[in-house]
Amino acid sequence: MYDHLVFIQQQLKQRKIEPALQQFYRIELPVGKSQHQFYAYNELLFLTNAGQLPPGTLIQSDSRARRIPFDIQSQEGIEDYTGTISIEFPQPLEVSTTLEFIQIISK
Amino acid sequence: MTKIRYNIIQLDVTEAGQVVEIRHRLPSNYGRCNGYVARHIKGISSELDIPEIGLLAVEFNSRKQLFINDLIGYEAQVEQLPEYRELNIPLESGQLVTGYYLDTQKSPYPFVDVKEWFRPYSIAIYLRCEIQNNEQHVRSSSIHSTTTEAAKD
Repeated sequence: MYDHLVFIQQQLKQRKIEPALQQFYRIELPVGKSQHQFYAYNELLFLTNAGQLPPGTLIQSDSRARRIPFDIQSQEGIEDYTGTISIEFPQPLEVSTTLEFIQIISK
Repeated sequence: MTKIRYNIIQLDVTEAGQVVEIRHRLPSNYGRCNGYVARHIKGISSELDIPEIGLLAVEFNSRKQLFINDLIGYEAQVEQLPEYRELNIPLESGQLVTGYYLDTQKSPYPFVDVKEWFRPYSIAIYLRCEIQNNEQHVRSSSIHSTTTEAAKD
């Protein structure tokens, strides 16, 4: 079975990133929000709940960009973002939404 | 003398707001990339320059190094080809160039949705790289010598 934590550890090893800290990181966005920008320099944020975001949501960072597909089943695995991270929802949120990440702070 | 090779990564954008992923393998004999140019090559036709049509991010050595974050614009009349922008990236043999291009075009007409106005286009990333000086086929020759020694025994 696909295991997020094992995948992350493998990714870090392959990319020769030595973590100083690994922890959960949550961002809660209120109803009506259509865009949110925050910063994650010198760290990686692995988004773990992409499947719970509205289809069409754009997540963009310095290293990676992803639009949540309408066929949510095609969302494979988890991906990491770094630098300036911007989340754009296709419409203002109708329910409050939480973004859940695993945060890796590198040495 | 250092030998220079150019490598082109072409990206086709077919939808407004599309994220085009880059997964490109450079030839394994490239030792270093020392310059790049990224530009629109076909598809958009406008009489005016457009300062931003998209955003580009490029990583080298299979996601170990993020080196390029750039805005891509459109020039209506290209009078002079752009100069290569400087890079200095030692390459690990056979690794991937990754990243993305994100279309950020806005409709110039206030009441026309960008999806109706959008036309497919292509951009190209030109990488200027140096060939590695190392002797090639080292591995195969070492296998051969071991085999020869084994045969002597």
